Amino acid sequence: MHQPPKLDLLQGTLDLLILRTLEAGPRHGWAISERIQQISRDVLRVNQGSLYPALHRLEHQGWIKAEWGVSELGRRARFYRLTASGRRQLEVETETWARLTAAIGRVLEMA
Amino acid sequence: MGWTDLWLRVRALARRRGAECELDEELNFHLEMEARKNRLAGMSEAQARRAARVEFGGVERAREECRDARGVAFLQNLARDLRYGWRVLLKTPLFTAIAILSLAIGIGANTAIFSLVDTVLLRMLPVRSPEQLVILKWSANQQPGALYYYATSNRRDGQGRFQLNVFSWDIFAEVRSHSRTVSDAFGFSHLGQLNVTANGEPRVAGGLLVSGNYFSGLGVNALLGRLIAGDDDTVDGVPAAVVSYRFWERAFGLDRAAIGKTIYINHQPAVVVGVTPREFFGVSAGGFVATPEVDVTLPIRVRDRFDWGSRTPIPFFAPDRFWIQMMGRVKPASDERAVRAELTAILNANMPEAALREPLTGAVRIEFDPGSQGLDYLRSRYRQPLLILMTVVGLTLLMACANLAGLLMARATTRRKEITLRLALGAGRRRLVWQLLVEGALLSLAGAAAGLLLAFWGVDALLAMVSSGPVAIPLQVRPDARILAFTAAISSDDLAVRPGPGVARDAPGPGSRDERGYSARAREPALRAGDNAGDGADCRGAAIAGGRHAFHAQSRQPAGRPSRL
Repeated sequence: MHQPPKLDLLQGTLDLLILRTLEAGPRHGWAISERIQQISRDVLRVNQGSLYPALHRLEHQGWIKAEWGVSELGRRARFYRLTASGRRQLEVETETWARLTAAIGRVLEMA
Repeated sequence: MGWTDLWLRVRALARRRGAECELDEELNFHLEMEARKNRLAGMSEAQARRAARVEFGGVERAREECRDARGVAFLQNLARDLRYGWRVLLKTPLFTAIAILSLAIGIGANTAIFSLVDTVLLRMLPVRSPEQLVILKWSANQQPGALYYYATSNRRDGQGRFQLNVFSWDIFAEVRSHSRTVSDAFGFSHLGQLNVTANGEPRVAGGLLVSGNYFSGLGVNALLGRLIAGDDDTVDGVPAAVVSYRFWERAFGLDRAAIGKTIYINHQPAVVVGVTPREFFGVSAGGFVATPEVDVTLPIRVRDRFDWGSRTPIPFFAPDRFWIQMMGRVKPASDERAVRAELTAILNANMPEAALREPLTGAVRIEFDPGSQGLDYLRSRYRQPLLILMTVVGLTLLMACANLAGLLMARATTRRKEITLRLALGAGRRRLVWQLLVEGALLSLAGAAAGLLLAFWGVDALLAMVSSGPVAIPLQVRPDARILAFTAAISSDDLAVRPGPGVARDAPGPGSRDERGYSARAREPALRAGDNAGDGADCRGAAIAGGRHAFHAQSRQPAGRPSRL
């Protein structure tokens, strides 16, 4: 079975993707990484070893909040949800990302 | 770092065990979900688990990074640094003792002296608008022989004129009721040592007679009860007495029931009606001349009511008896010349004819001094010695700090080995500097604590030295927390900050040009010209080495996988 190589996430984009994934509703860590992979049609792969430090960092910054809940399989799991300040941060980062990609796109086209 | 943040960290630290369990549970949950996915894709149980772990990468590293992200590391490191610093200091007890002792002497002496300077030179009377207060005196060419003086100070002024600080009752009463330029003129007279029996126990106490407007004129309020309210203030025919805070403490043990109790002053009864505030010492805490501490304040008419043990009664309220000291407030609108003219007229009008007729008396006139500090006797006497002492002591602290910085520097040189080793083991520069700072701060803190003890003792010793004359000088001197904090801050700055970065800078980083070994470098003199330039180079070298190190670490990741986030 042949697959195109998976792309690594750019430095700093993991936070943005986590925040965006949580915008749809609370999820636990594993679901977040699965969701990112699934939406990106398996192109993006989240390094699971850095996912959790990132989650804890975002929580410490107050952008997401963690609560213990019950997973779809009936097990205890830690669910993360977006806070109000996280929502604002998501807007800021989305805009920054849009500006960055637009700029890179222009350079690739015209240089 | 804000307080909330610090609180979060402390809480995180306190709940560390709980948080660790939660972290484990969270990571395990992830691994199991991953393994389940793999099982569903057709792997065997063992294969699925293994694949999940491989996919995850280093669990232990992730755990460590989670802890860092939560900010627990900072406090944990601080606690560890404190413990380590303590052990290092204990390992060299002589060095530690000398360091703490020299700091304690510096800090303690400074605090003690400065407290005294603050009290004697800087503080004003704890009364309302002290800058308006004046002390009234009068002068004549020669001392009139027709008068009786119960004076506490008579001296010649700059022009050789006779000067006196006491007035007759008539003059005082006239100024108080009729002056248009001076308001709130109040009179008082020291009684010297009295025998006061309170709670059945006799003790020696200083007394003061005051006019009824003394406390209201000063703007002092009672701490407890009320203050003297009239020239002849009595309670059921017995004279009222106001006691000082210190007397209240000594004789009544700060018992509020002291109000209304009868005390015996030279065997004559008086009723305690109130207590003065703690910081109030009367207008002359050593006032114009050295006077004993005022413990008991009585209404001025007690001069008549009490039998003072003289064989024939003295007519204190006669116009030729001069015994009342006078202070007042100059009204804001009146200028000095107008005050002088008006009061001099009152003085002349109430002076006994006989005194004015004496040919040598000459012109009689009013003089006045600013009364705001109320401590002018102490001030003029101790100003210079105190300032000199303070300069010397300030220099002592500087020397102690320089000394200690030198000691630390020398020790840092010998600790190069340890530091090199720690750098080689991967300790961060920031952590090393931080650790040295903690060590320095620990030392300063111990020094400051010892200094505080020394300061309390020093203030007492200084006061004993100052009050070695015939009468004790009552002063409320407390080592000032503000001053102490200041001194401690200076010395800790000096200690910790200076040698700290220097050591880490000196320490060769792995892979820098100093890799050839600490031993060769350690033998070089620590302080020499051009060493700074060398330090700078070391610093850059270490940074570059560090960067290279990090780069190697990255490229050491498995080549087949995409390098990760």
